[in-house]
Amino acid sequence: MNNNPFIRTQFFLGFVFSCLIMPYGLASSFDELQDNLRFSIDVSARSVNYQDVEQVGYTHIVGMDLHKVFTNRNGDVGTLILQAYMTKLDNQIQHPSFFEDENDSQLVYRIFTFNFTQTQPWQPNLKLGHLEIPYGLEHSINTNGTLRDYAQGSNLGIKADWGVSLNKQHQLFEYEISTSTGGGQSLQANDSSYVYSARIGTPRHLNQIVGISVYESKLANNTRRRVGLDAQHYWGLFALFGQLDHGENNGQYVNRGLMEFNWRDTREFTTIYLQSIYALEDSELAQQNKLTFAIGAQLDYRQRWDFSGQFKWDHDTFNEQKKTERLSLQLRYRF
Amino acid sequence: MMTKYYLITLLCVFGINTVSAEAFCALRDPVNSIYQLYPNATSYQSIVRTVNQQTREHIITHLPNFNLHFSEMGRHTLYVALQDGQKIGYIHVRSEQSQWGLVEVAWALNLDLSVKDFVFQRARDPSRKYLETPDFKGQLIGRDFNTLRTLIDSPFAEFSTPLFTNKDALKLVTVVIKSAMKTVLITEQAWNDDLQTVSTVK
Repeated sequence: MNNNPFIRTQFFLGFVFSCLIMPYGLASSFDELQDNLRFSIDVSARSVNYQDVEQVGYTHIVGMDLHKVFTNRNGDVGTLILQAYMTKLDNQIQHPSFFEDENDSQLVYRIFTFNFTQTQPWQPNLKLGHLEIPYGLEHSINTNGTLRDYAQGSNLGIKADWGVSLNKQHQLFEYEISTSTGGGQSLQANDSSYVYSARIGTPRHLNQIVGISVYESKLANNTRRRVGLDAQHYWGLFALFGQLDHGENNGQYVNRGLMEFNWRDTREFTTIYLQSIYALEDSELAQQNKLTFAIGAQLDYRQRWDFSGQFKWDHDTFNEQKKTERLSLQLRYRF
Repeated sequence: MMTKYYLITLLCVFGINTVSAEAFCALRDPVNSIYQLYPNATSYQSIVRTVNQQTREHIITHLPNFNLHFSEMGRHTLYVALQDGQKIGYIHVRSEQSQWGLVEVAWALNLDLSVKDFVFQRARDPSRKYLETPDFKGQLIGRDFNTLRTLIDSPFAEFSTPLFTNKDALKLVTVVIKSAMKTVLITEQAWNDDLQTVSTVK
């Protein structure tokens, strides 16, 4: 992994500049650059109380969320999304692997893509950049920057990666097929790393949504394969989500199941959810399983403030692992 | 250290206040709705503008009993349906509160801002099926703001028997008509310059 901030910054700026001018020709004025632009600054603070070890960790995040649609006389050309966040950990003992330790600071790219959409209705769009791995529930439900997630990191070993994808929404289905480097946050992946992933599903705005995903990766000499089935059913203010995964980690079988039941208020400012995640894995000695529950709530206030809390606990854990309990609280402000 | 300076510089360059509670990666163009509402469209063009306090006051002036809640304000997109480069209509997706959560309606507006058609982009209410019939849609098609207003109190006044009597569906009718009226007013107010100037070339 290349964590040299200078090299990463040069790429960062180069990519922004390229995306801004390539599909458009040189932007003729600053006004034009601001046209069709959405921009927010996103600040959040998160605390995690690791109750089993009696430690509290903090994460402080400040970043930018930018969305720009480029158009020309023939219509929309494509969309640039740039989400770059300075992230400071403070005693955060559970953290993504691209942080060196529990007190590290990193510039983290969540999504940083240009999606070229000026194609024929039957042709796919072409997306390039740091993209979300198209797999399972996470592909159609946005949990970006929230406490709530669908365990994509622990399941696949990676949530977003540098690469390219083909994607499209059709009347009856939508799909995304990606290939990426396996570097995660870093552009310099190991030579042998790769991630292939694809999901096809019914349109995400319907009240019943079903998707099928496939995934294969090699990350730091660990191989993973998955086939996944995900479903969402909305009934009034309630919803039930599920995801089943079958596959292998380094040749050892893995089966996982995730279920979520949630409720939203009529304005959809408040969400309350209950999740359970079950994993059954083969090991060299025996089969082992893990069952984790999470209960959480998220409250939006005036489109600016977002307060959320989540309690997550292990009911069963894999052999040699200790049961954990985590109480997380997050305050987020966008302006 | 340099990274921080670059980031701050970028923040200053794009210093535009466009609040949204949800990360922008969640935004999706209503591609299906655009081509369903305009089957002859060959492409579409996005125009992003701010629905602000001025727009809110405009709504309240014309519709004293209506309001714009916070999620209806901020940056929104008007889509222009194009056929071989020619503008053939607009698509504007608005969300309205209902007893079953937010209802998102994709409105197709003619160039004079009368209603051409609509589809539910998202509606959890099972009674939506009553409103997706040609009979109900026919009630709205061709109406401008003033003629939509006459529907709000008695949607089926022109019929000897109502189209349906399902109570949930009748509540949803009110939601949809409110959505139509607000959509026309907001489009007129927030995209006023674009309606005059955006045609085949931007």
